[in-house]
Amino acid sequence: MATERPSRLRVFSLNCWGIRFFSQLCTQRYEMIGELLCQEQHDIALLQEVWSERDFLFLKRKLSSSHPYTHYFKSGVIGSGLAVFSRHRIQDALLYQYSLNGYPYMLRHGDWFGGKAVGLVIVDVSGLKAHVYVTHLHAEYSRAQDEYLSHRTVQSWELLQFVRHTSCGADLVVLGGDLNMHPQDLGNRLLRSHTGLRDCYTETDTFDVSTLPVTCLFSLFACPVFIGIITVCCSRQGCEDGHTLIADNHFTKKQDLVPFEKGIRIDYILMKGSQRVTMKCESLSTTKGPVADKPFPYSDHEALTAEFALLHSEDSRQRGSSDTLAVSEQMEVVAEARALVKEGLCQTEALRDKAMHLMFGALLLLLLPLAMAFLPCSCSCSFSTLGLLGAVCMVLLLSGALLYLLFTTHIKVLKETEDQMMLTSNDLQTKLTGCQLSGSSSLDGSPEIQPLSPFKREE
Amino acid sequence: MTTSAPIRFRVLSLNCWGIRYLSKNCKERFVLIGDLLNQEQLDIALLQEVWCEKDFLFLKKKLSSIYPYSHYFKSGFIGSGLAVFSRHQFHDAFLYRYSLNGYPYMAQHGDWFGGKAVGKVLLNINGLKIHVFVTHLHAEYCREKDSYLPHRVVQAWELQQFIRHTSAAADVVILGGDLNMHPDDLGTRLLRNYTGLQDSFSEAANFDGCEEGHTHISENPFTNTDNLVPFGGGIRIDYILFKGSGEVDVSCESLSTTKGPVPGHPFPYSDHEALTAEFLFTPTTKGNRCSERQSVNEARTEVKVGLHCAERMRHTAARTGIMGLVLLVLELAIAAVPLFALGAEQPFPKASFYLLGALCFAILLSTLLLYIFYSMEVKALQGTEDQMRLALSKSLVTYSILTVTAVHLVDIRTSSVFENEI
Repeated sequence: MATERPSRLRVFSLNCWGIRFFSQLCTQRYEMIGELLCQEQHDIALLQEVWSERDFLFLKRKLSSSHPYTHYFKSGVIGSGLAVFSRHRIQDALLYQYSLNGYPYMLRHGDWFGGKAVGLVIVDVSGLKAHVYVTHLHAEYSRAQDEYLSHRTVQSWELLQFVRHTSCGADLVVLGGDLNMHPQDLGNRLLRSHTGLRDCYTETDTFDVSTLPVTCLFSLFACPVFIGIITVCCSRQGCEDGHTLIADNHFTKKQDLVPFEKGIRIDYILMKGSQRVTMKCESLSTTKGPVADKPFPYSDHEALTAEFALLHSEDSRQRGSSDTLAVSEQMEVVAEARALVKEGLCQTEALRDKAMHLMFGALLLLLLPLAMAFLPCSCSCSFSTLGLLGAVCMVLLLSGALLYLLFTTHIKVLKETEDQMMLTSNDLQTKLTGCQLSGSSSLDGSPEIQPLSPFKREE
Repeated sequence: MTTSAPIRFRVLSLNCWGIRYLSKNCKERFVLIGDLLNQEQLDIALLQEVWCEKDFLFLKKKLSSIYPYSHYFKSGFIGSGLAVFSRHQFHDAFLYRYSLNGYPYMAQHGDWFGGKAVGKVLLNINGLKIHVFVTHLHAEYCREKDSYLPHRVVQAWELQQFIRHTSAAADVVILGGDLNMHPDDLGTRLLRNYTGLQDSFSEAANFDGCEEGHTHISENPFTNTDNLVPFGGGIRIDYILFKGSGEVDVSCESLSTTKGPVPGHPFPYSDHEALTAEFLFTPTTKGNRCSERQSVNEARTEVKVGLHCAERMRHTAARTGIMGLVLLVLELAIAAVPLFALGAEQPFPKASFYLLGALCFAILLSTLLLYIFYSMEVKALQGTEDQMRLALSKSLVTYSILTVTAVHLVDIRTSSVFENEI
């Protein structure tokens, strides 16, 4: 049992909405964000949608004394928009770009150009090895008819695989970012159940500490019977239900929140300790739209700040939870995800067929002006009309070919994801059988079963 | 300490050259490859260039009794071409697609469409965690003027990053594949130095195969011998690399390669030779080996060169696109003259007008696509350079700490000796 004082770690996460020339008051908001980070002195700040490198360099200069270590992840055409500012040395960085990220022809959505990814930085926090992940998943534009659901599911899968495979040597794991998913959405459940990461909002005892002193004073004068109730009610303030995209923020469009009137929770800080370190979320707070003394909020999203206590631990088991239950839950959620990916696969195959029809249609149509041009017929079509028709056919043919290329690539990714899910499913089935037979085994979210090895030393 | 008998582990790696309708005797060679794998009593087979899923499924059926577990990594348009067949169950599979992989307009090379990547499978044998990686890097078409060198260096960098970051908990790491690099090339050195992986050819206790361990030889009738003449008739570009851990020592007992023509068969298995390595996993108590951190400066230079080229190409695409736009506007302006000057003759013959217009649109569209592509290339190269810079600064810090510590220790020792003398 550890008796030393716990170390503390403060992590900040914000989707900055830094789309130059499109998002409102971009430059001014970056000034405010820079000031906030300078004042608050978080250990690590995880930013998303820092699309312009100039804005990153501005922040880097502004925060050079408080956060001397930075990393800007670059991918795609304009992305990834992910930036990390740290008070502690960044030892290493790795980027994993998601295989699916929307469609290039959906220009008004633009996610495809963003090269969305998950970035990993390995940070030395007082001698502890922290694996910090920052990510941003595909946006949800219409919950009722979400054409990007399979893409976001694949991204969740790749995210969990990346975290699982790269966090084995970590003392502590933190993931922050804009997942564009509600807490009980499939992708979120998949991520949490397979990595063992815990949601700070649900884990913390204290949500928005700043309001507590007032409520404590009030509760002292109130009837003792009511003290407990009031304190409990008042300790969960900040944005209602931890929402990070709220109607009170005047940058947010109300129609984006429909049917959720007040707000939605789509930004997260997730965490996990290890055998060597116990990690506890002491508090979590969010900004609440308008900022005191400022004319506008930091972004269209609210910022999250989490404070962790880190205790060196000699325990070999993180949690004594029912492992059979955890494995069953993992199997269920993977089965659900697999069904969704299969559905996405069918839809994409249909799209690819349409692209092929477009190509053949254009080829056939191309024969028409060619025939007319070369056959001595009495057709009165002018050369220019034929030329125009020919040009249109060429454009259609080229578009069809590019779309065919794109959808074939997507199909490959969906099939690969499905195969990996099936492999995991089979592995979980084996674990479940093993669990049921032996009665217990520790599960820590790693991708491997750990039967007792005759190679290992007995301690 | 619990001891256990050492475990033998046989691995095969082969670039199958399975380009349907283009590579020779494709179907027949897959039959031969299937027979070879069935005979060889391997634990795991790592295949590259299995481009067609039908060929993978054919092999899967043929090998189902001896190798019941398999995985076919899918990525890109026709790729990745990576397939794994194993006697032992996989617990997981993961794919990392390289950020750079040639150019889509280099259709005669075709690497871009292959979606090259590194695939990883996890095995567990008697409690040993074995991480097996299979990969295929961008081909080298002209060594004197290798326009794909920055891409291959980035791929080698991403390969070593992926292996390093995902094998922290591994007892044994094995990498097999076609790296398309010679043993002393920058990318190979980068890979070995950073991961600590050892080359089975250099470490094998017994070797039986082509001279110098060559895997692409002129004796093979499928090979283009002209390319191999400057290299004495063969090159070594396929590898099986390995690494143990603090608790498991891995030694390479033997390595063998095929030698071109196969006795009893009319042609070889592929244009590449197959590598077969036999490893021995033994328990140990010594710690992990330190990996040297060299070659990054050299790699960073190559990446910077590639970045400079890519930025120049992007600039050219933008300039050409703007010129196309200007030409189009000019053409429209000329064509609009008769509208303003009533009675004037149309200066433009219709055919020329439409042809020029079509040309301008074609220029605009192609330069737009190229601009998007080069932007992605620039971002990938910049990202790799940033990671390399981080790695260099970490090495410098480690070096400084080690130097200061060493100096401090020398001081203590000198002063204690001095005190003793007094």
